[in-house]
Amino acid sequence: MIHMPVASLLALAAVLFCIGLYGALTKRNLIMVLVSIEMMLSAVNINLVTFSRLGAAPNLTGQVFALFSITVAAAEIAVGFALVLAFFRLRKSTEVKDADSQKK
Amino acid sequence: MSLATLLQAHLWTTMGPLFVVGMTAIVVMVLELFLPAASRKFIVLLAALGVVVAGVVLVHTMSVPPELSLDTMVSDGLATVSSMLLLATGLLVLLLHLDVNESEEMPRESSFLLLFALVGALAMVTAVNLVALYIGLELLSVSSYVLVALRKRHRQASVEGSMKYLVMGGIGSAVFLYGVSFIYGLTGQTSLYALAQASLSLWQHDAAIAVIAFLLIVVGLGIKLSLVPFHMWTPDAYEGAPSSVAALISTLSKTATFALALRVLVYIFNGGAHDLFPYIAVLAAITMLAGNWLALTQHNLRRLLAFSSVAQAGYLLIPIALFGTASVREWPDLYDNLLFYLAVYTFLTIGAFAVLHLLEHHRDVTMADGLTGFAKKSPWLAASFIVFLLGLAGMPLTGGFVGKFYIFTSTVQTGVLWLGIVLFATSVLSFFYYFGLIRTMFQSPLPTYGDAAQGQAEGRTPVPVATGIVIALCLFGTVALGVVPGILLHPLALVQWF
Repeated sequence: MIHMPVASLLALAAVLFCIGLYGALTKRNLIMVLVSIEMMLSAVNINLVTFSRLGAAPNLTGQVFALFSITVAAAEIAVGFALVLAFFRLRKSTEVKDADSQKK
Repeated sequence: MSLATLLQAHLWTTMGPLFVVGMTAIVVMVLELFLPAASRKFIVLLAALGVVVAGVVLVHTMSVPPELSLDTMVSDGLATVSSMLLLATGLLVLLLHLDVNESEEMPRESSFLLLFALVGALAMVTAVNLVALYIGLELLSVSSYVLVALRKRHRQASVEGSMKYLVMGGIGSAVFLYGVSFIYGLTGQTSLYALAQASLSLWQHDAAIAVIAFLLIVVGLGIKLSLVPFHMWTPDAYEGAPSSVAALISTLSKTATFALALRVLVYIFNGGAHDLFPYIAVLAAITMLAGNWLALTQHNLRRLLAFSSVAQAGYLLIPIALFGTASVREWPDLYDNLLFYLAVYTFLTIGAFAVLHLLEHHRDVTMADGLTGFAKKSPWLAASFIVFLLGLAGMPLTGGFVGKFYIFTSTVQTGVLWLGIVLFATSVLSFFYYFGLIRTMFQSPLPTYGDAAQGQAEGRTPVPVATGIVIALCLFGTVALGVVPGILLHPLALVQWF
């Protein structure tokens, strides 16, 4: 097996998580916001799998956890895209700025 | 895991209610496909029946000593008492849903999604494994996102509210899970009992990462609990949602998430509680101040209730924050405080949303101005609304006062008096906007020009049977817990919490 340092894998996850968080908070398109949330969840999966192999006490639980997290994320994003579709039918737009019918 | 351990696991004791509600949800889902739309009422009643049966199962297994099955589900005090509260909440919401379903013409999916949300909530309070807790949290959240979007009469607000809820909720789960992944990495464990034993060494050896994990978990749960500064989605989701769903996301998901937060934070971080839990105290103080402050300027009734529920989340966070200074001997008191106030808050909020549903549907009232003359036209309904508002404000003789008083006493006992003072001061502040509403109810309506004026429908507001029952039960709960709080406090004092 090629030796992989834990630090670089965790750094990858951290960078991915931060990009995702930044995107989710700043992107103007709803689809991009959902993609950013998906990136945050991917970062979590990288973390879990890394720890499951190279953590302080390596065991399989992390990979099982990652499988659950992938499944749940898929369900969440499916609901998200259904909502984007419903929103698009109402407003003919997927821009965040058009979600303004409620009072601020 | 061998077959023998699976057979010996006490699954019925720990998962009985969850199983019953889950099966009901699946049966309801299948029936909804085949039955005509006219039998909508029957479906909701069937769902309510399932919740009642689950309650019977729960009471039946209560006498059995606490069990742990498969290292994942537990039937300890916290699980049993919160499950009881969650099932009662589910029943009240379903009864309210019976009328909301008719008047909003909601799609068929609504009743089984309510049940799946209840299953998720039950899993959140009975599970002691981080994987199972996460699944429960997401089952509740994803069902709520869909439920919020199902309001047909105000399609756009509903979809927008749901969208905002989903984006914030999605970020919340991701942040929570990122924190959890560090806890797993440092210990290699996901069982809360194993983590509780490793807690001290975790704090002594890897304090830096433990702090990061703690903050990530608190922020993630803070988004779900609508704590300030993560509360942005709350008013929009409440405004968009059908009334029964608004009642659901403000009570059911709050009860479940507070129980989860209590378990996760206290079990994993009790080693460093003295240094870590003050962060929660600060968060509670900010939430109380900002929630009440934002509610002061609101005229939209739903948004007002939303901000009031943000403020209530701040009050509810105090018992958790006090774990930082409390000795183990004082822990049961904090559990009592949290669960008692959650019970009171459930009655008050569901009652308030039931009255609000009647106001919106029969009188078309959405703004506070629309309440003028309400006390004269339907005195009984107005009186119950006043009781709920006073309860939320914390008036003596309602459960709200007793709950707040016990939390205040705990802050004094554990030596975090400043938090108690913030609680007291913000409660005083909250009287302004609750009394503002009550005053409006007694004002006579302005002379109307044409039919532009809102909420000037003639005569009394008709009260459908199911909503009437919900309001009566909530009223009874509020007043009973205010006048004789012992009926709940004495049983709570006997519970073996952990």
